[in-house]
Amino acid sequence: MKTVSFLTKKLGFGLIWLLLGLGLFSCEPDPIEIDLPAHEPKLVIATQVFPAKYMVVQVSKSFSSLAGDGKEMNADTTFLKTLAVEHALVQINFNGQTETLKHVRNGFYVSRNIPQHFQQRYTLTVRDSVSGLECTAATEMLAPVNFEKLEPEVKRTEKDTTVTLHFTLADPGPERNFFLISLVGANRKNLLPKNKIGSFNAVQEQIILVNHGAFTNGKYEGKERLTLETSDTLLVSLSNISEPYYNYLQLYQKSGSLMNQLTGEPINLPTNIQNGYGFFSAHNPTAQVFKISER
Amino acid sequence: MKNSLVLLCLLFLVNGSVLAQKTSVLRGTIRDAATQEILPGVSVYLPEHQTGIVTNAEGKYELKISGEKAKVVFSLIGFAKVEKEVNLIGNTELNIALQQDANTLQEVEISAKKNELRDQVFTPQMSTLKISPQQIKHLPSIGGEVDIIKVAQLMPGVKRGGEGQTGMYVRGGGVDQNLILLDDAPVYNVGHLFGFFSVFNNDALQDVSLIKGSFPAQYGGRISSVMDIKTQNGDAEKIKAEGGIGLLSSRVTVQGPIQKDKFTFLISARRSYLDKVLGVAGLKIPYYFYDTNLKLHYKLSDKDKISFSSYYGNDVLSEPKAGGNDEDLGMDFGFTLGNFTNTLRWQHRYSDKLFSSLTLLHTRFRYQVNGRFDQNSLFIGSYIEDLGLKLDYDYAHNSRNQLRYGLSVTNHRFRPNIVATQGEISDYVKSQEGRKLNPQEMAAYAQNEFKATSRLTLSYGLRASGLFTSGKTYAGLEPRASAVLQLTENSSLKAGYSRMFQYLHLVSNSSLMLPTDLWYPVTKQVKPQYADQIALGYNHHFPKRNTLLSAEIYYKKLYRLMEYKEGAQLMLNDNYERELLRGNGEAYGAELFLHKTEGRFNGWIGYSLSWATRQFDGLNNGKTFYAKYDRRHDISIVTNYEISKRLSISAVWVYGTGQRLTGRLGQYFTPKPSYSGVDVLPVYTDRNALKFSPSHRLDLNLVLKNKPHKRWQSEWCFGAYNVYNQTQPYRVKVEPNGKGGYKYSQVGLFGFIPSIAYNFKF
Repeated sequence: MKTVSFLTKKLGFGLIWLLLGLGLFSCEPDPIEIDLPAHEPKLVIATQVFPAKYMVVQVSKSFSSLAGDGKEMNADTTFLKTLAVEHALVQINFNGQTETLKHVRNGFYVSRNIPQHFQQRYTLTVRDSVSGLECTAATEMLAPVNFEKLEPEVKRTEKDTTVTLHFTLADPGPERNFFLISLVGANRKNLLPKNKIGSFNAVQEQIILVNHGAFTNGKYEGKERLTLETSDTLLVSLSNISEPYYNYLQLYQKSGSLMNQLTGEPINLPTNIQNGYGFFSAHNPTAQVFKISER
Repeated sequence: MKNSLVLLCLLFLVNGSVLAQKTSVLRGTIRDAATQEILPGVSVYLPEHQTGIVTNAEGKYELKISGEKAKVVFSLIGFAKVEKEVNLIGNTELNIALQQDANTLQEVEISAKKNELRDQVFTPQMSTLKISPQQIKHLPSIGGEVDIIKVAQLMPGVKRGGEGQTGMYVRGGGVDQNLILLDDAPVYNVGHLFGFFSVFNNDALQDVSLIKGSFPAQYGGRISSVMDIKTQNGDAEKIKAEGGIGLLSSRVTVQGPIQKDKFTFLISARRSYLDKVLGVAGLKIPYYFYDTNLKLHYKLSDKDKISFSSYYGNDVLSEPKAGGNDEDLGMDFGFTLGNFTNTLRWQHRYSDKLFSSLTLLHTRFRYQVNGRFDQNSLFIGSYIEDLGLKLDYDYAHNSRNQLRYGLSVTNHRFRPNIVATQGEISDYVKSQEGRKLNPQEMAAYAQNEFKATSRLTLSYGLRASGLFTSGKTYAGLEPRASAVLQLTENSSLKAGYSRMFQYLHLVSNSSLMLPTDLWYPVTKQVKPQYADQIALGYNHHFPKRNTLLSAEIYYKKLYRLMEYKEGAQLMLNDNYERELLRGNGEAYGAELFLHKTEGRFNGWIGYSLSWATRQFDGLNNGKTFYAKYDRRHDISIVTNYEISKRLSISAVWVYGTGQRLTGRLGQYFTPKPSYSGVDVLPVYTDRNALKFSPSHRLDLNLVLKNKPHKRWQSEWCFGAYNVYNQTQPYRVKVEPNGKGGYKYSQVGLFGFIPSIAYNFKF
């Protein structure tokens, strides 16, 4: 038996040396350059409505993949500012009226005169006087909704704090309804941006999508767990969203999954912007803040 | 259904006028002089009449000849040619024993048999490639062990998937549209190590045919190709062994008689051993694969033979030990996946004209994933298992009509996505029994080969197929037809048409061959795919150099193809139908094949010019797009040169237009849906709108044999893959261009890889 074991080891070592030797002669091929068509920039739209008559529209431009690594650029405020569209005419048309939004800065345009007529159509038009780019989009204004029940359950271990959120939603009506729940855990120091967007980095966030098919007897009861690291505050918001925006968010979630990135086909996120990217959505979030440290 | 029965019956009605001829009949059996085994596929040729036939599965032939004398030539690759002058008085029996041709056997030749090259010109069967495993074993390969599927990828009309992968894309079809049969049993997963090695041990194989179009009626069930792999019966005379030690795996095959001339066996085994070798050095790579083949062949009488063939193989990653956790990671994880196939066949000869083959088939593919972490445990399992019965008849009605008919029944059992979880993980991954599916697939076929004139041969047939699944029955009529018109003494024109139905499909949205890719049958909602193909070909045989030139053009229309919605989650998803999109496809092109099998310098040149597109309402905004492996040009040059009796060199050079890709050309910033930060989102081109740079590479293999006539025959194979280290692009990345900006560059997987292998035989 000893002889067999000795010979096996000898053979094993022999093969290792052979593999290593051949490995030394193996080569990694050099990458080959390739010319791909240039990216044609388009306007990128993001919107948010607030109670009463507030609407914010952010306008920026898309850019080439050759501009660099997106994650690094995320922290480069100078680069971000070059993408912001500062000289655009941004108008919302609703109920036979047209409201021009006022430019603030960093590509943000705001109006305080857009009343919320639920279930009505709102049309956005953007024209950038510098690049000549323009785009349009339309959406429906949706009424805000509230949780019927919302209760965070906090569990602390030596390593971290886990919050399990128990919530109940009531179906607001017979029509097809779609909901976005977002959970944001943050340290209060980081909760609001100061001078740069990068200050959000310490935030833990999660979104939950619920559709009308998940309701039983007009109710949806769910729970979601969020592991908080340094966060002491949990912000939970609920929005009644349109079906196109729900589909967009579904694909947004899937495109971020590791499995899809490794093995799936690339996903072009859908958009309701004609000749542009992003999404024009007019949903009203209702939010609650929980101080985890006090629970 | 009534109409189909009528059509099937019509196929049995052969041309009556041929019965009136007064001619002599020459018939007989051809055997191997050394082993006394019968030899199918022997060319029996009458040069003065410019006609001939090939011996059937029983090694039998029968020819009707006018006149008093005839010269008959018997030939088969690896055997010395025999020429006989025969006096024809009534019915004449001429049995021949062919002597093995030692020189020919030792040559490194590729594909097709010597005079099969000529036979290929005059048979109505087209779009068929034959590969002899014995003759391709010295072709270069990664790791030093030749792979039958990777050799098939060097043939015109067959495109490879990713570099080094065993996926085949035949004439614009998908990887799940190939029917791969091992001794008639379907093999559902042909890849080891995520598809980098095929499951077929070359030493155990006898013969391989790849049919790309104009399918004979006995085949069905997939719409793009049929790869029919036969294993060896085992030597009837003496015990023989052969094997090889490669860098990644070793193999051994033993064959011989259990009872001389009656009962033979073949056992073959292969195992990868990186886990063992690196384990000696303390490196833990707990992965290996293995294959075993068994073949038993028993001659009951001159009229009856029984054979049993079995394959069992698995990929194994660190099977968890019960109750034990890995000390380093505090976790156990492992998987086992593999195929198990069994074929039991009884061949019976009723008369010299009628033969039957009754085959009982069993095949299973299953995977099992086990994991343990802290107090959590996870088991995921899945299997597909078939039990089938097949009955085939060959009826040589006369010298002008050869009929083949039969039927098959297969009971499929699918049990995908069995999940069992314990511990906290069960909150996220729910236990489930998996969906049980149990459809039955049936088919009946008949096909007649009719020599209409001395120059025109027709082959026509019909296959009626169907699948019974819960709540729904599908049926399809699959007409098949082909014709060959002899133009000159050495050339012919061929045409063919076929329709194929496919009742099973692979649920996968990955280009890799993952264990979690599952086969499903059609359902009430998901109708079967089908394809129509027409082809036209010109064949020319150059007798002086025994070289065949084949040129074909084809057009294929594929219906009810399947793709998945963007971002479809298919893993553990029993309701995959909701993620499914249906569409159509189109493929067309031209193929050239120049093939030389004799002489010290032999090989082939293959060229394909092809297009393959898809159209799905739910993809690419409904616009037609190129299929993933649409490549305009593909060239393969495969050569062997015998420098001396002991030294030979083989070279493979391939060139292909770059494969398609969906490129990320732009990006944009947008707030996260929770407004807790900013995302960078990609902007992609239309689906498969771009293509990689062309790829090409050269592989070499130098074979040094020991002195001939020794009992222990051995050889060293020194191989090199991708000799000039050319990148075979598979991914585009953005990297600094050295000038402060960025550029696109394509990354390859394998560069220059040397290999060494030792093969032996005694």
